[in-house]
Amino acid sequence: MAGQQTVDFWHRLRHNRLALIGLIYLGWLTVVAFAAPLLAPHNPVRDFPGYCLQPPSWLTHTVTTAAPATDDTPWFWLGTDRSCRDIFSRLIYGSRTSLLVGVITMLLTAGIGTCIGLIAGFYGHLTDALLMRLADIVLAFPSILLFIVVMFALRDTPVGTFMNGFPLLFALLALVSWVDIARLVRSEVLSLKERAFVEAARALGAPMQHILLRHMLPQTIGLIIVASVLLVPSAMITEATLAFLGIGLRQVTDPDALFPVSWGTMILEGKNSMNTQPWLLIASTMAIALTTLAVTLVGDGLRDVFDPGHQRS
Amino acid sequence: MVLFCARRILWAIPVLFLVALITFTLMHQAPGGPFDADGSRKQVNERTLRALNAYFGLDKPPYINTEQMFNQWQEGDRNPFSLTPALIDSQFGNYLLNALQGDLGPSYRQRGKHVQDILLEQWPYSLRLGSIAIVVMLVGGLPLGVLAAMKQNTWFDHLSRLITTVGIAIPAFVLGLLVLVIFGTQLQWIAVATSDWDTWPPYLAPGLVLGFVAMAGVTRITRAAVLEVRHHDYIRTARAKGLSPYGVIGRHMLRNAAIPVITVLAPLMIDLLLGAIIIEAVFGVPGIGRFFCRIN
Repeated sequence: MAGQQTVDFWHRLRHNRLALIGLIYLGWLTVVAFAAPLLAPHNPVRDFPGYCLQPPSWLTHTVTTAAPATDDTPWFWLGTDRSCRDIFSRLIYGSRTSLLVGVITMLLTAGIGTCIGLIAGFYGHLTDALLMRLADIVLAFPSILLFIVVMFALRDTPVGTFMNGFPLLFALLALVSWVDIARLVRSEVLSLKERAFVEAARALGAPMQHILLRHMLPQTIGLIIVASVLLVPSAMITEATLAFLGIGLRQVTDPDALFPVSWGTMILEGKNSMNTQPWLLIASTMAIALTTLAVTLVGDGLRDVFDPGHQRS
Repeated sequence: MVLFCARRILWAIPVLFLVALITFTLMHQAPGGPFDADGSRKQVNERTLRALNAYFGLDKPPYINTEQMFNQWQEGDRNPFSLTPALIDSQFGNYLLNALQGDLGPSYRQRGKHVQDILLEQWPYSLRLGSIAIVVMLVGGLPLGVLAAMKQNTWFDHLSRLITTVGIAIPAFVLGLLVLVIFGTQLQWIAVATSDWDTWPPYLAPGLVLGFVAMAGVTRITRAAVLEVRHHDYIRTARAKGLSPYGVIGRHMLRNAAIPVITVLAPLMIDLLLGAIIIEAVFGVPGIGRFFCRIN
């Protein structure tokens, strides 16, 4: 049964060309992120004094600066930024940050949302009422305001400096986005509760956890996957937005850092040197745009697969 | 219906209170204060600092003033109507009481001005931007959604689907910056640094970007809503009555499809009119949004 479903799943996904393109792009981006040290021509935080704000090397052929153009003149595919760092290498390393934020937030949010949704839907009564009021409050709170205020307040405290602020960012993203998944799972559990197979399991004396985890969770897993994939772009966008506002992850100067660059930071730097170095802004905005677009295409494709009735009718 | 509305409106009170409380707490936790020693400016001495703090009420405790209430109690005051004001004579308490009377407090940055004055001064700029975005959203989104649904699974539908996916997936500020760098600094079709925000032309680019992003969502919902009603029995009946195709669409389909669309449109329009934080920052519109974060 499960095997047949998997085959069916791939079959349907393969026929959604846009989703497939998105999936291939994301796969390629993952490879780039992991192989960044091999692919990047320079270290992303290393500066090349005398080579600031260079245009792409293939445009100029010979680097025209104060430094003499010799054979060991560094080659910059997309030029350099105001701090004399190679934009192309930074772009490559930036994929790591974006993917990490997307994936961790997705897993964290899906986990929290599913647990809360299962509990609220299954136990009902006061538990349900309390959890859903909490969800209402979270939903009513303007999230961008929360992000700005929290990041501004905690950025320079030990909470914000811990691991460059990644844990704080993940916690914030999970805090505001668990609601959608929790509501989804809850309503699904509420309707599943009345179904015959759950009643049968209960009549056979199956314990609560067994019914929840073995009978109900598998039925909702498709919905959970779709909803959590569609959360990824918004997590990536939030990270980039905060970095663009100058209150995102902290700047890294350690050349051995695993996540040295954020595309959002590059966008901010690109905006500030828009006239002298347009390549920085174009490259970083395109990187973000293509990635969020790819994830959205995959998410939409998954929704068509798991929930064929939706929208297409 | 009235009960439902009343409940929704009352629900706003605890939410607003929590927003205020959390914002206040976080800003209190943030390192640095309004009169902190700043090497680049003139230093204030201890006495001036104390006077300033007293003037702005910053010498009071942040949340509740138990000390003042306790003192009044010691003096024999047992009247709850005078003890409660003493208890909430705190920074947060006074902020809330003033805010309820429309006074959001003095601005630290612009001396002599109150926060509400600044907001009211800048809001018209956000309003202009928002109205352009709304026009784009409605004029673009509604027809596109209806047409896409009527021509379901044709090339037009696929094209509109692609456009809406782009609009939904790509964040507005990224799109705005791309527009700015391509049409601004490179092609020079639009002015990048303009200060003349009292005329309409500079609003066109940010308005279009903001409107396009909003349009994508509206198109999607409109399409889904029209598809939903298209196969209902009453549409078949209307058609069987001999009504013209446009009569069926206009009188029966769109009116019923409008319900979910309007539900989404109302909050979206309010959002747009209240200022788009990041788009304003990107294009340098002097609206309300840029006060969240000052960037250049």
